[in-house]
Amino acid sequence: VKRLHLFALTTVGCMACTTLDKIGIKSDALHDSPTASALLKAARGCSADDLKKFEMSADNEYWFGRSVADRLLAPYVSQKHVYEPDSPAAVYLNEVGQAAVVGALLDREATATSRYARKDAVPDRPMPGRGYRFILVQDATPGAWGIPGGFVIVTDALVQKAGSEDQLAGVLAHEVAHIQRGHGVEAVKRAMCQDKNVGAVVSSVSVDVGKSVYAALPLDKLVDLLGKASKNMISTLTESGYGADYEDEADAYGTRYLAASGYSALGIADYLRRVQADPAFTSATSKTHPPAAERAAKIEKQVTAERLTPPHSPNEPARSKRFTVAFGGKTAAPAAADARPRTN
Amino acid sequence: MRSWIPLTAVLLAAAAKGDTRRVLNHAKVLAEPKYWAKSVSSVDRGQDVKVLGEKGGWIQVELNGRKGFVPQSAFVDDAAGDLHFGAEQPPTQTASAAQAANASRGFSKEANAQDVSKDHLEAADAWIAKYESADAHGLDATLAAQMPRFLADGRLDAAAKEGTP
Repeated sequence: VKRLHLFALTTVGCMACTTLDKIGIKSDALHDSPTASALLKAARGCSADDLKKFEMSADNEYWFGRSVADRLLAPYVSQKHVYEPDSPAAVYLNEVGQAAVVGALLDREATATSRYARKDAVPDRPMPGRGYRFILVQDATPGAWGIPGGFVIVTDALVQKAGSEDQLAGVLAHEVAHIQRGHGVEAVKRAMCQDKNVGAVVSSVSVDVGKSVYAALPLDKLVDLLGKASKNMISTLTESGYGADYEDEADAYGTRYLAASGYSALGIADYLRRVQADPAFTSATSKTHPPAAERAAKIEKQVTAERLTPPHSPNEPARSKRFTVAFGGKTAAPAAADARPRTN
Repeated sequence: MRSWIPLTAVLLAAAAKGDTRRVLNHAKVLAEPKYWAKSVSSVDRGQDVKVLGEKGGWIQVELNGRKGFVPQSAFVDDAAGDLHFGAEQPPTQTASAAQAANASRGFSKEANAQDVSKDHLEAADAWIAKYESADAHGLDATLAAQMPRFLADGRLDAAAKEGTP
């Protein structure tokens, strides 16, 4: 068993374009309407009541997110590039991820008792009823996506760039924060609210004040609406990102989740410092995230200002040992004769 | 940045001890208030359960004589209307369950024509189902068995204590 050969990095910045192209999907199809992120930046004319029409229940969010995860995962499945859920690397990823999720739960409890006052205009999403899933895929390009409903898809190239379990926990906590802070759901609500075609459909039905349009729409319209929203979400996730503000917020909340769970509060910042000059990371994230060094500096400031402890955990070396075993050692990587993860 | 973000009406229905509450969103019922705990059952929208208590993000419930914990989301009322689509819920409109499930998953005609094929999406969805499987040898069972030790070995004490009285 040997370390995965994942550093034959492509020069393509957009993982989704690469993988989608491989199975014959037209990249142009991803550009047929403004992305949610672009709409976020230009968000005007959507009142709170307008947005409420597109609110999702926890169940709605789960199924919508699952549709997005289906789309993101499809190219990997067709190429047999998804890790078995019971493979050692996938299990380890889920263990670290679940610990980060506990940090999110603890952070909610802590903020409820005013550990530090939140002034968020948008409340957290409810914790997913089915829990979180961290799905590991094989890809030479670093990437991680926090998808509504509790789905986190991570490439092994991104994982292997981490220097420790605490840094990996940082990456996962950032994605959990995207979901808990409702960035995907808000992006969809705004995209729908801003879309003239959607507006025409919505105006054709009667919607009770305070209720969403989903129950009022004829099913064929609903199918088209959600199908398009799901497709556009892929574009948001892989090409434009959730936007700098949401990325900063995910860093800030992810950092609090880390501290709450007992990981190094600087886990995200340390990962970013480690990859800030890495051309593969920069290429993969330049369009979707602010520069790594800039993000790291903000987090370092936050950790000091909020007195988040521990900045660096004294237990980090012990955790890093198992991290090395899971992703770099001799017991976890796929067998030499089958370097690619099995699909069934 | 915050100024344009509206307040959304996400209200947690009061879950007082001893009350019977109606479930609003599907949730796994877990043996302990931890996501990796063994799943003992599940609850669906419309089911009535007895609420035994609340701690942090978890609510202890009793259903058919069995006790367990669900995340708060099971009782969150978000004014999203009556359509709770998905394979686990019958549609409230006149349509087949398959149509409703496809709507939720984005299997639109447009998607089939221009985007990922339905076969590819279904194959991917089968993978997600595999990651969610409660099979005795699946991820859930592995996490239930390994997480306590994972947290203890890593000295993630705060995470290990979460949900404990």
